[in-house]
Amino acid sequence: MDIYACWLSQVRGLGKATILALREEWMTRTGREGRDFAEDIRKMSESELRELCACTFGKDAGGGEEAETAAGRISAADEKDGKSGKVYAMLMSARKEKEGEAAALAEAADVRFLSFDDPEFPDRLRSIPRPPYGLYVRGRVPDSSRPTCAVIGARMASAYGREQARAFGKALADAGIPTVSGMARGVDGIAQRAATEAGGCSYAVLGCGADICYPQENADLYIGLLRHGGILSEYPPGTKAEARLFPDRNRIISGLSDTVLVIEARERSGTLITVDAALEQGREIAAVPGRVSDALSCGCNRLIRQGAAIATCPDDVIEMLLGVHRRSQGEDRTYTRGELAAADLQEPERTLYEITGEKDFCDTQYLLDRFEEKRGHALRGADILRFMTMLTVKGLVGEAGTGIYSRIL
Amino acid sequence: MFSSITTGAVFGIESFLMQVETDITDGLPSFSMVGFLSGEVKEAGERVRVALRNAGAAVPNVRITVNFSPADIQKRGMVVDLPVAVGILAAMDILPQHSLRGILFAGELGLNGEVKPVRGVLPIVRKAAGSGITTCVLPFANAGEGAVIPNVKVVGIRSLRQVIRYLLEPEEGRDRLIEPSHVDIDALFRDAGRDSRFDFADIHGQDSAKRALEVAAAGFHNTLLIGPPGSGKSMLAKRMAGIMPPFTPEESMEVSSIYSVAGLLPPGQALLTQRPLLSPHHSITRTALAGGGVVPTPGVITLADRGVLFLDELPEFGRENLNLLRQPLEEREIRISRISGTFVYPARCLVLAAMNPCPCGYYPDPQKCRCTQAEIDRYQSRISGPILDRIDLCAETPRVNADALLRGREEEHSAAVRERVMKARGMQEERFRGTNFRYNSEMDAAAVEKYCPLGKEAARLMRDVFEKLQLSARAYHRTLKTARTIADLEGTDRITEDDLAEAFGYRVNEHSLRKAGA
Repeated sequence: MDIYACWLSQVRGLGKATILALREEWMTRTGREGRDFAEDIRKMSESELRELCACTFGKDAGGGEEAETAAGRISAADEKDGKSGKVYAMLMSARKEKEGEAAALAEAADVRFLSFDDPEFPDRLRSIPRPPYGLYVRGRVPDSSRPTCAVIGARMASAYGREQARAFGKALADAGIPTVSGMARGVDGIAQRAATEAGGCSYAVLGCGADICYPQENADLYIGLLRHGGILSEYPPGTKAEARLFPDRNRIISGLSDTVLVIEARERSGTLITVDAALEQGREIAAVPGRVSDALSCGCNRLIRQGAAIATCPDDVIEMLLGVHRRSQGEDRTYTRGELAAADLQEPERTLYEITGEKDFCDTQYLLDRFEEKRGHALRGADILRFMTMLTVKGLVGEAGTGIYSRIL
Repeated sequence: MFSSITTGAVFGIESFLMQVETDITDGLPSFSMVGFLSGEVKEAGERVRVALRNAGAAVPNVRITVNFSPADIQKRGMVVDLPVAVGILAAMDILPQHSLRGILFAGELGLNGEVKPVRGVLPIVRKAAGSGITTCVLPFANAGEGAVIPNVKVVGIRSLRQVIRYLLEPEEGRDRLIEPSHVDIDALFRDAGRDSRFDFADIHGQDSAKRALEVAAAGFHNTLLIGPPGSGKSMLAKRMAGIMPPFTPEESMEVSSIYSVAGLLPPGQALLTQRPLLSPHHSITRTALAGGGVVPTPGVITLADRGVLFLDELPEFGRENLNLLRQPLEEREIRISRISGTFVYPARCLVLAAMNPCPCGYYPDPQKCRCTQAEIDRYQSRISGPILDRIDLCAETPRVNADALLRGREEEHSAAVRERVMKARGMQEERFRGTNFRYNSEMDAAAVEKYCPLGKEAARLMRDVFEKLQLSARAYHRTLKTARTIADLEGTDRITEDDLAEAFGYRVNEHSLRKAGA
């Protein structure tokens, strides 16, 4: 964990756009990689820092800083040339804080900080408008090379919405597609719960600190997500959930995904904020249609009318995702559905799955022998069926005859 | 003069005691036997007359009437020579009446007076022991069989002369004359089940099939092995009895009784100590399979009681034969109705079947299998659904390649497997105490509900598999029963996700071939 980046992200009054603007300027001036930026800000001399602030905000201050944070509002109200002075003062006062204190606090909450320059920082987020400077993470972050789907929808979902959330969440997990959502009441939480219960990866982006489970009633899901995926937040640990933080959170949800699936939404719904962000980021939108008379389906139906893809079944979404992914990643980095689902496999299932690719039909003896060759230790006769059943249930292999397996392509 | 002798006979496999009443009066010389006798039983008269003369006790020219009581049971296919001979001797006053008190006689006579073995001694002596008989005089060859029953003195005799001498002796001196037979049952069972000829360790590879048999033995599940020719199905089957728990004395007694009735107890062996393993050829007739005949005799499903019935090349048995097994496999007994009554034979055998996946045996290897889909379908359809329904486990025996044979890895011995099986049996005994069930495979739907609770994870897997594989409700219960046994082998009360996943791996996959071909 970069303790300086963590410190920098928590400097009072400093918004992410300000930090990223400083970083941009610093990189052109010094010609160095961004990963040393935070440390240098903390350690450079006062005159250098003043100069950096002046160069960044001197003539063209305030760009993109409108109403970012409470401090941002004040600075916007200030005269334009006051911006660089303000930033300088905030940084100077923050430099008096103990080194590594913010990082230690995060660590105490079992939260990691990934700065914009961290190799683990999701690639997808780097290219969205107004990216976060860093993410606080518990568990893992979504793998940018894998097709990922956001599943969002109304909090007060109807029975239909709940049912669809469950079905889509589970089907996506079964297909090996990680889901991203907000762990909120209603659709978000239901879809994510279904995904984790099916053994798939799911990630929640919160509008509060990553160490806080909001809403409380999803405590079990929170724990499930820690095991099967991760909890992400832009805000430092301990940040309380506040309504004003949520729109920004939505922007990260869509940013982390290739496609945003809307299960149920009202005509005017918070969900549509995410959709707007997704469109701004160039993500595909899919919506589950509903009856025209249902208030809760109005949002979805309108999205469809406006050109969103119609998600009548999980396969629609999965095929679309694979297509989107192929376009964005290039032909050589594409997945077949089988490989996609296999990506989540743990040992020894992973090795067994690899072996099934070696020939058309594998009997248990072949699997056992090859496993021993590949892994150096033998599987018990009792285990082989167990793992192969699991692979069958996941739809990765089929049984051609009793005890004879073939990979499903 | 009049005499009454006790003897025993079997009806089906039930034994009953019979009185042989003999009366000798002056009058026109004749020898008549009455009491619902069939022709072959009446032949005893001629044998007895000659045997008595050759034993030195010529029958005078008198009128002899022998009655068998109870008279309402038809006496067929039984041998009553010795009791009739003793009855006549007593009626002739050669043997004093009091010397016969509390004694049961059974045996066949040769014309020279030799006493030959008869069938059904074990159940007869067992019946006698419960009916106040203190001594059984039996053919020497059957004495060991009778001697396993406690609280009865068993005397083995070789000739009619010997019987006479024995009975003339005052009671105190009899034991000195012929020492009562004695069998050390504990010793019999101590060495039981150590058949070193057939050990699991002889089979290289086949780990998953071995495991399937282990599960089958633990829960007494009917099992089907599918594999190409030469993959070791028969070898595995031969070793099945060796991993099942050894007979308890009670079980052995029940099964040995059946063998005694059928006259199949091996010579010189008092009790069966090994679980029976019968592997009838597929040309077997229906009668031989299920039992029957004019005088109903037990069929192989009864002879395999509490043991293994190995049906190699299952589809070759033909639909008719296989359908005959349906009711017995369900009820664990077979009823054979004849005009003389209904005979109920136990049929609590574990059916171990083996078959090739297709007529040529190499499906689905596209290089080797030359069968058309229609041929495969026809081959498969010889096994009716109801039979497959009664099979809990289905396992594959893949072809073992040279590597596995040459590697010479130390394979597990039958004894080690049996140990685990016995532990699992112990858990079942504990669980089913006070119920009618003995093994997991016997559970009905209500019992499955009660004894096979699933945890949250396992329940979820169950739901997933059902959706994905579209299983039937019956498959649901079968899988749970198998999973229960696997959990027992692991020694856990709760069925875990792992147990369930393994159990699914053993399911009978009826449509797999068709689907793969489509």
